[in-house]
This record gives sequence, C-alpha cells and structure tokens, in this order.
Amino acid sequence: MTPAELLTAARGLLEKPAIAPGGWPRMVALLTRQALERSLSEFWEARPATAGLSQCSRKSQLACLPFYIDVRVAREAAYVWAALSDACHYHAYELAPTVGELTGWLNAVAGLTQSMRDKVPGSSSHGRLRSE
Amino acid sequence: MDDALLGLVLARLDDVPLAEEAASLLLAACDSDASLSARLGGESQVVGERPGERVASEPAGAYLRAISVSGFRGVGPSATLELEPGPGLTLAVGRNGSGKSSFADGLEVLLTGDLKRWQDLSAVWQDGWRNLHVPDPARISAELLVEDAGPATAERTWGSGAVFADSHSTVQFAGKKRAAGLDLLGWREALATYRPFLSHSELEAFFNGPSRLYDLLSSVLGLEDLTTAEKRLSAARKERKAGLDEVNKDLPDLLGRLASVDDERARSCQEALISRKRDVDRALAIATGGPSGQPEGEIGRLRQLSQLMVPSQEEVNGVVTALRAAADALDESGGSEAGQALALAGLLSSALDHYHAHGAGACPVCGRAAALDEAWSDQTERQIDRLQRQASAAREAQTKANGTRSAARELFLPMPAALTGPQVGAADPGPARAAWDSWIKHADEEGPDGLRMLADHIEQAWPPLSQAVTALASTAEAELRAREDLWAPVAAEVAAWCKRAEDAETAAQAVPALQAAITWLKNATDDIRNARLAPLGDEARAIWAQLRQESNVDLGAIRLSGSGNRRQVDVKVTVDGSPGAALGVMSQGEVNALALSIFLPRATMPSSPFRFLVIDDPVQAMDPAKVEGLARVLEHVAGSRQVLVFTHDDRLPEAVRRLGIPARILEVTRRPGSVVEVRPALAPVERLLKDAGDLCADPDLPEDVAAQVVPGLCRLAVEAAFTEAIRRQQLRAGRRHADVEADIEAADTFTKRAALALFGDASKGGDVLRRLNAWHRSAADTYQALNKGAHDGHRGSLRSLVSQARQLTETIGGKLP
Repeated sequence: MTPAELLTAARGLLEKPAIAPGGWPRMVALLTRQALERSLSEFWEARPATAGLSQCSRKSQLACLPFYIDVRVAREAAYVWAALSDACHYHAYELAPTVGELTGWLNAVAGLTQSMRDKVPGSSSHGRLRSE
Repeated sequence: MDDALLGLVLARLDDVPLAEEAASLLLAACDSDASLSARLGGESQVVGERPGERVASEPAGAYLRAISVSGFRGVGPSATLELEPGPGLTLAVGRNGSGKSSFADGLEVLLTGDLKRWQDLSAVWQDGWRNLHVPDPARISAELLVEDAGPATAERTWGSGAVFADSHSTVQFAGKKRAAGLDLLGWREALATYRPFLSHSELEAFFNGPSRLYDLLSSVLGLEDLTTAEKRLSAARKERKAGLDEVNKDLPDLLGRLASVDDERARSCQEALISRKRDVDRALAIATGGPSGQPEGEIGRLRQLSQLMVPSQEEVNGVVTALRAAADALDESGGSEAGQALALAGLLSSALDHYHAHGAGACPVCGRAAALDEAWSDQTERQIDRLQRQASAAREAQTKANGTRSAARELFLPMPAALTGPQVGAADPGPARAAWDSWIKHADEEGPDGLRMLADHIEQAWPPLSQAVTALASTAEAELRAREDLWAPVAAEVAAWCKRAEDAETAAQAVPALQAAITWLKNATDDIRNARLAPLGDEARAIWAQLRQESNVDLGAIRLSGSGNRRQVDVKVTVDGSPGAALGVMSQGEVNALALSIFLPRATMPSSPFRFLVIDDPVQAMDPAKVEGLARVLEHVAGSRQVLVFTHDDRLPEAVRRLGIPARILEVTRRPGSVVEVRPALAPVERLLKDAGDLCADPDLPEDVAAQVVPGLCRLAVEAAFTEAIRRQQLRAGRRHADVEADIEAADTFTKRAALALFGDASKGGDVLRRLNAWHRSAADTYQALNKGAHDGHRGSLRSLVSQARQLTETIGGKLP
C-alpha cells in the first residue's frame, strides 16, 4: 500500500465507528506509522545514491534525513515516528492514544509525506497526482 | 434534640457540674428556641424538657444500574455506562478526554444539580458544560435500584440554550408516576453529609481548606443538634449583651445632657449614674419625682416657699370681730366680779339653810337680834337668785374671751423653716421673714383691753404679712417653673434611659449563666464529637496502613478542634517515629492517599443511603506500590458497596488483574464527534488478540489494510504478554515496584522487552531467538513474523498469524509463570 492509501485507511478507521470497536486507536497508530515508514523508504529509493538507506534501521534513517531535506521537516519526522512507535508498543499502564493525538499524528504524517515527495528529484505536483 | 445526644448531655451533667441556672438554660436550649425564651423569660417550667422521640425518616438505600449521558461535557450522542447493581468493584478506564469523567461528573450533577469541583473554577470553564459536537439534547439519567422500592430512574435535562443552572429534574419509580424534582429519593441531606462522589481535584483540595475538611467530617457525626443548641445560647447571650452595650453606649450622652442643666436634680442623677455601682432606681425616682426622689435642696425650698400660706382675710376679720365682741361682753359682765357674786350667793344660801333649820332668830354672824325672819328669808332668796345669774353671765363672758383668745393665738403659726434659709434665685425670704416676725410678736394681756390690743395687732400686722408672703410664694413659684422648664425634658430622657437600662440590666443578668452554658456545651460537643470520630479515625488508619506501602509517614489520631473560622482537623502523623506536621512532610501522592483514607470511611458509613461510591481518578500522583494498596482497599470496600472507579491509565486495572481482585473493567473511548463508547475491557493480551481476530473477520475492512494492521496488533499482544511476565516474576522476586517499572520503560523495543522477560536483562536481545527456539520452533518463527509484519505488513493468512500469536502468548504464560 502507498503512504496515501495507508493514511486513508487510518482516517477511515478513526472516523468509522463500525470497524474495530475499541481496538481502533492502536490500529490507526499502526497504519499511520507504516505510512510514515513507507514514505521514508520511497524517499530513499527515489535516488540511487540513497537507495541502500531503506535497508537500515529506522533510527539510522531518521538520523540521516537532515542531510537530505529541510532540518525542520527531518526533526518533525523523527519526533512523530518516536511518538507513533511509542503508541505501537505495549507500554506498562498506558492506554491507547486518544482521538486528538491520533488526528495530530495523521496530519503530521500527511504533511511529512508531501514534503518528502516534493524533494524527490524530477517529481512535481503532476508526478504526485499520477502516483496517487 | 435526638434522644441519644440528650442522653449524653444529661450523663455529662452528672460528671461535669454546671450551676443550676446555667444547666436549666442549657437544657432549654437543647429543646427549642421557644423553651429557651421561656426559660429566659423567667418561666421555671421548661416546655418539654424531656423531648419526645423524633421520628427519623431513613432515606432509601440505592445501587446504580446505569448512567446515561448525552450532550454533556465530553459526551455527544447518548452513551451509557452499565453497572451491576450490587456490591462489587467496577473500573472505568479511559484516557483523559475519553469522556469517562463526564459520567462521574454527570452523576454528581444529576443528583446534586451542581459540581463541587467547578465551584472554584472560572465562569468560562463552567460555561463549557455542553458538548461542543452535540449540544442538544443535554441530558443525564441514572437507573437506580432502590431498596424496598425497586427500580427508579432519575433524570436531569436542559432545554435548548438553557444555562447550566436552569435544569429540570425528575424521578420515576417503576410503575409509578414521574415526579418533578428528586425529593422523592429523600437524598437531599444525605448528599451533603455522605457525598458518595470524590473527584481527583477534590482529593487534592481535601486538605487545602482546614475548615472544609472539618465540615466534611463533622457533618457525618450527627452533632447538628448540639451546634444548634449552642447557637441558640450564643444568640441569646449576644442579644442580651448587645442590649446592655447599647444602653451603656448612650450613657455618656445622657451624662453630658445632665451636666448641661443647672439643676440639683441633674447633679443627683449624675451622681447616681456616674458611679461604678450605679443606682438606676434612684436616678429614675429623681427624674420622675417619685416618693424617694423628692429633692431636699433649693428645689425643695422653692417648692416650700411657693406653698407658703397666711390666714385668710375672712379668717382674720372673724377673729378680730370676735375679740372685740368678747372684750365688750367682759365689760358688761362686770369684769371679774362673778366669783365674788357666787361666793356671796353661797354664803346667803348657808344662812337660809340655817334659818330653815333653826327658825327665826338673831344673825349668827353679827348677832343682831331678830335679823332673820320671814321677810329676810324672802329677800335673801331673791338676792341669791340675782347673784347667781350675775355670776353666770360673767362666767360666760370669760369663757368666750378665752375662746377668742385661743382662736387668735392659732393665727400665729411659728416661722416656717423655709423662711429661715437664704435667698433661692429670685426668691428672697427676707421681707416675708420680717413680716412674719412682727406678726407673731404680739402682747397677750388679760382682760377686755388685752383682747382689744390683740385685735388691733392682728388688724395691723396681717396686711404686710399677707403681702410679703404672697409675693414670696409667687416669686418662688416662678423660679420653680423656670427651673422645671429646663429640667423636664432632661428628666424625661433620664427616665426613658433608666427604664431601658433597667430592662437591659435585668436581661443581662442571664449572661453569665448563658456563658457558662455555652462553655460547657462547647467542651461537651468537642468531646462527644471526637468520641464519635474515633471509629472513623480507626478505619482511616486501617486504610492508610494499606495505602502507605513504602511511606514512612504513620497516621495517628484524627481530631476536630476549634470552632467558627478556626475550626480545623488535627491529623497527627509521625515520620519515622517522630511527630511532624501532617501535610508538610507528605508527597502529593501521600496526601491523596490520606484524603482517600478519610473519604472512604465517611462515604461508607452504615447510615448512608448510598450503596454506591464514585471515585474519579484516585491514582494520579500515586506510585505503583500505592496503587496496589489502593486496589486492596477498594476490594475491601467493594465487599459491601458498589464501588465505581474512573481511572485514566492501566495501573489500577493491572494491579487488580495481577492481584486477582474480582472486578468489572470497562473501557471508555471517544471517537471524533464526541462519540463515546463503553465496553467491557479484557486483559491487554486478550484485548489485542481479540481486536486482531475481529479485524480478520471484518468484511468491511480492506484486506490490504488488515494485512498492515493485524501483525502489529499481534505483536502488541505478545509484547503485553512479555511485559506481564516481567512484572509477575520480578515483583514476586521482591524487587521494588518503581525499579521494575523503570526497567520495563527502558526496554523500549520488542526485542529488548522479550530479552528482559526471558533473561531479566534487556541487553540480551541477541539471545532471544535462540531461547524461543529452545521453547519451540514455532515460537521463534512467530516472533520473527510479527516483528517484520508489524512494519511491513504480512503476506499470508492473517487468521493463522493471530492464532500463532495466541499460542506464543500462552507459551510465554506457561514458561514464565
């Protein structure tokens, strides 16, 4: 699934009560994190020089990101990924994330996906439309 | 007053003596306002000194069956929290903002019409009570199961656009008509006394206002009747003291007025009122001119002068005429010869007797022969008769002369004392004194001439006397009136003040007795209150003993002390054995625990009609060890009460599960649009596996989405199984709660968590696969499939992935018990 598809699925789960009663917050978090990770992979694979990075650990990938994209975008990507990872691991005593948190992460990842795609060489808004 | 309290008061009167008057006032105050007034009014028969028993209406006891909320705070479309109506523990777990507190707050608002923890908040905050997404209808209802009455529904609704305070409440018992208001439940007083709600912010505020905590505790002790009696006594004392103060406050003014009047009565009044032991009676007598208030000085003399009298003109004329007539009569009767005539008549009578006895013959006196014969006898008899008449006329004239003389003497009254004094104002007694002097200085000689001289004196001396005395009397009268005009208004003021002072002084006589009764009752109330508080304190200590866990604070006696604005709760604590100030040394968590220790016994008193107890977020700021203690305390309380606890994280549910405490755990979540869902919560591993299984079976979920999500949920389930194993094993080994939790948090990847579970060491991630392989080959395979699938999705049967994950969690449970 493409990052956009993953995000759409996440939004669907968040807003559609019938699916996965109760379990949806973690599922939304899982899908959102996957969207972010998929965007990262696509970002690296779009250039031969960085294609190998997509095989590294996510932490390494996020550490390299500032060298290839605006520092603020990179910093936000690292922050959102950490938060999503937190939500996707079992933490003692912590309950599933709230709607507010999930919505914030979804929007952040949508923005990050856009920023990273804009940086892909040869890519334009046309290209983005085509790939969607 | 209820009989139990009255009994305590009467028994204490035997041990702690109170003077008779004070004691009778005390008992009257214990009875009623009317009794106290009657007693203070001097009626010795106190009305109903032994009050009849008061029929206490026991409120209905109730459990909760459901709480439904819509359009209120975090809840949009109607959401219902269903409960088992009976003793037991229910945990409602939800993240902050999930809407769970809307149920807790909603129940309080439903039953009390208000929210305690809002009372200190700003209006802006309070105005946000309607749900933003679904503001209408705003409605809260609760299904109740009421003892001896069956199911009932209490409901509170707000009209569209209505403000918070403008709500409408009803209650309806099954099969009965719906009634407006909630009075049918009979909870009005009990809600204040036993308050079955406790929110986190209230817990924090518990110790902020010492007087508030005092009220919370003292209200359950049922001592209002004693307080009421004390209020009655205090009011009576205050009123009486105020009356006297008021009178005393006016005294300086009155004394000033008195000083401004130049009048001896004013001086006397001043004297009577100014001294330390003032004599209000005397001042009043002076002011009103009563018998004991007659002035002795100038006013008295003026009064005497004004009343001076002289004989009247007619009287004087009469006496003068009589004197002169008597003088003339004396002249006519021959002066004083009456005696001689009588003596001669006596001699002649004796001669006649001799003649009659011895017959005619010579004169026995001169011896003349034949002097006595018949002719002589006849002549002599006639002479005797003439002599006797002559004597009688003389005697009569003398008698008359004597009478008129004494009548004249009576005119000469001695000089009145008033005339002998000095001049008083314009009234100069000098001329009158001189006239009086000349008046009474008169010759008093016998005989007709004497009488005539007397008459002449009277005739001459009376006019100047009369003139001088009359003039003096009218001057004195005028002087008196002038002084009276100045004095009268002041006298009226004095009299009015004195009457008030007398009343106030009479009333104030009861003040010392009232004060004695008040002091006695205060001490009695303190002792009775603390005696009644003792069992509550014992229970609080027992709860604290469970909650304190690793705290070094020991809870001692809890006492209520002081009164009025200085009322407070003394909580004796010792820190590591040495006494300390309770709150200064305690952490926020400890303060919360202490507040809970006091709240729980109060809310679960047998006399409370509430069989339910709602606690919102008690675990904030509590460390894990205290949460475990709290779980045990709640288990105990839930043995006899329906305990509903709202909590924002999984600490309390985890402790409840780990300790095997029977409890229903509900999960509250909130979707966009304030759609709040409540459903039974499974243990985390079960929950996650069930979610994963449900996803596989959901035809609406796109397969590719499921392939992305299911592995993640399964990995979460396995991770949860590892985490539970870590906690289970390490806590059993005696490690500190906080250390275990820190280790778990530090193991922040799937592999680290597994290593911590398997080896007690998160850094041995490289050994995980080997150990799982040693358990079972499929365990290692599942582990790997989950780790990869969680990020990249799973290719293959999702259902079998879920069942593999379930197997792995069971293996973990079995291998790491």
